[in-house]
Amino acid sequence: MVATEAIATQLLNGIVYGSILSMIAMGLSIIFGLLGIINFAHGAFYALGIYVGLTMINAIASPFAFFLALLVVPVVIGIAGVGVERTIIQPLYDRDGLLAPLLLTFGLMLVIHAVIIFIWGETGRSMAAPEMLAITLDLGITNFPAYRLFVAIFMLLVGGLVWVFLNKTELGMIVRAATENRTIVKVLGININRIYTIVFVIGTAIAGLAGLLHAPMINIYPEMGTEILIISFVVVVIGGLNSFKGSIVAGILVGVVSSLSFLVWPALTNIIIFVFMAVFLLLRPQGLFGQEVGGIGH
Amino acid sequence: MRSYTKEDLSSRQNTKEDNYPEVIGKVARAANRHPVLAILLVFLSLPLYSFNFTLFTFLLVFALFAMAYNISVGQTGIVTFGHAAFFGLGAYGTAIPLVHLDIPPHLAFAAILSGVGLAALGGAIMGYIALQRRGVYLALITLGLAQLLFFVFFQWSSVTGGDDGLYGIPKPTLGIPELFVIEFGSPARYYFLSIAVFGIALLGMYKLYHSNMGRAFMAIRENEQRARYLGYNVNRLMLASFVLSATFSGLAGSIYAFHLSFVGLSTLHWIISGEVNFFVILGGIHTFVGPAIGAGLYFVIRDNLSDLVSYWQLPVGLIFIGIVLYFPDGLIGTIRSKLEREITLKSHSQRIIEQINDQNQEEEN
Repeated sequence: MVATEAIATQLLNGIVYGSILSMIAMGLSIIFGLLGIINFAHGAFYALGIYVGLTMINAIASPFAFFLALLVVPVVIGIAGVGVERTIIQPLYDRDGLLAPLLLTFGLMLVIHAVIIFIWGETGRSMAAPEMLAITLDLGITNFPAYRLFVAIFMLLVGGLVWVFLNKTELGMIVRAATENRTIVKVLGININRIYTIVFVIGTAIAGLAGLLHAPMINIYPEMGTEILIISFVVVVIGGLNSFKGSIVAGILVGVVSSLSFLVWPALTNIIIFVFMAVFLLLRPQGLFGQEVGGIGH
Repeated sequence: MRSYTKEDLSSRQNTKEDNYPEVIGKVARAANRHPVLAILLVFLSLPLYSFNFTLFTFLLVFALFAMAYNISVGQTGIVTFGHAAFFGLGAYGTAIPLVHLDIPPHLAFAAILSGVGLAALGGAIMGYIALQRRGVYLALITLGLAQLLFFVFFQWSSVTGGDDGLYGIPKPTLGIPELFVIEFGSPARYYFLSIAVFGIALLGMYKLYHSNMGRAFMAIRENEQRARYLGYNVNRLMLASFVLSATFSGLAGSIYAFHLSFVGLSTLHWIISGEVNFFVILGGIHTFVGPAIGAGLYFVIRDNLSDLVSYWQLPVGLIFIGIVLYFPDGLIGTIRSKLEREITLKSHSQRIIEQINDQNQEEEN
């Protein structure tokens, strides 16, 4: 059956895409949960990860270059994250209001775009999947590229690591506590600025990593991050900015909806996600899991 | 010798109003009392400075847009990231009938109404959906809905022209054909027509600002819960604010469409939504005229910086970061409070010196 095969393929594609969206939305969520900042530059860090990876892979030119880049890119983007957090994000922590962080990170996004254009140029690029994964697997119902499966599994691994960090380590416990009530954490004598930096860095590093993993499936251009950023916003609107579980479930949901709509009417793919968001809000205004207590770990 | 206590100093702080240089003080107070007149006078006197009417109309459009958004953000406290939708709907709502239907030029001006109407309708639908949530979610939802509109207009090219946009919007004329006709073909004439429309809009917004409804908006901004307990229908008022803001934003878009004779997808682009937020922050969020000043300042700064570097993203991004970090009350707010502090400090020290001199003289006598 051709139809079932196509549906199965798109379903898998949706899960893979959704796993990437989940990771980006999770970064947005943990940063918002603790810092109270919606990071508009998150997509720009994703794009930066791709370009840094591209340069590395071209420079090394070995079959293992991509896997090495998977280790190095999060570190590089994380360092960029430290720089940004220490210089321009930290002054915002004591300020009230929604607009200041929104506009600051919006400006940061534009600056990162300019940096990318300055270093790598405006022309579109592409990245090949690593050779040893450039095969197609027979899954019974349908054939599926091995690389995409690898992405989904890798993202699952990253998500698992973040979950373990938040729920099973002492630092993660402090992060969860600070998300609930920063003042008390401060009173306990914990250096909260260090916690802020760590969380911001984790968020941006994952964004860079997600970018690199996504890169072989898409066209690469300097402003590419904005597209996925806006879709990730849809994910956090549906899943909630306070919930680990919400990011994952909503991410996969949005990924699958977007992929399946491709079967119905390819031109519709861009539109359907936002229609989905609108309909979802009318049917379930409180979001997927509503307002949960217990912090970002869940 | 007498020492000066804290009370002496603080009692003088109240007199800072009188310490402005006299002319500036008079002008500032007059502008404060009649903000609508002040804005119109500024725009009317721009041609004394240069004849760049194209630029002036551009500034007027974005001043109006910024003030329209301020109904939502400044007055009611609803931050959105999708106001480009209403600007774009106003522009397309004007352009679509003019390009697709055979409308005689003397009726072309009526297309302003279709633009404004479409923006109001869009505001009602988007507002209803977005107001299901509050705060940062609301901002993100409006961004999503504006993107939805962007992609619809992008795909629906038979009506909207898609990526190419809509060309050939005629400049309107007013009057009765073959009897008495004023044409607005030249940039200068269109500029003055825009000022007239802008003036009417300003009066409307000013009336709204000081109306009971406008005050209810502010009550919601200060404390939504309390406004609800006081018996206000908060949801309906917030929707009203949203729709009014969208309507005036649409008017700005409509003026823009006639001005350029062209409407493109850039009017719907989310970068516009970011910029309009920035106008408001730059000029000061809780004032009536601030956003208009912010819009003007933004373009002045941007155009001066853009000459220095070749990528527009860099200067614009740096302006955003710099203003947010170093001018938390906006450019106007920060400069004003600094000036006031300086003037009061200066006059304090002067008075103290004078008094010491007086006392010294008394002691000598």
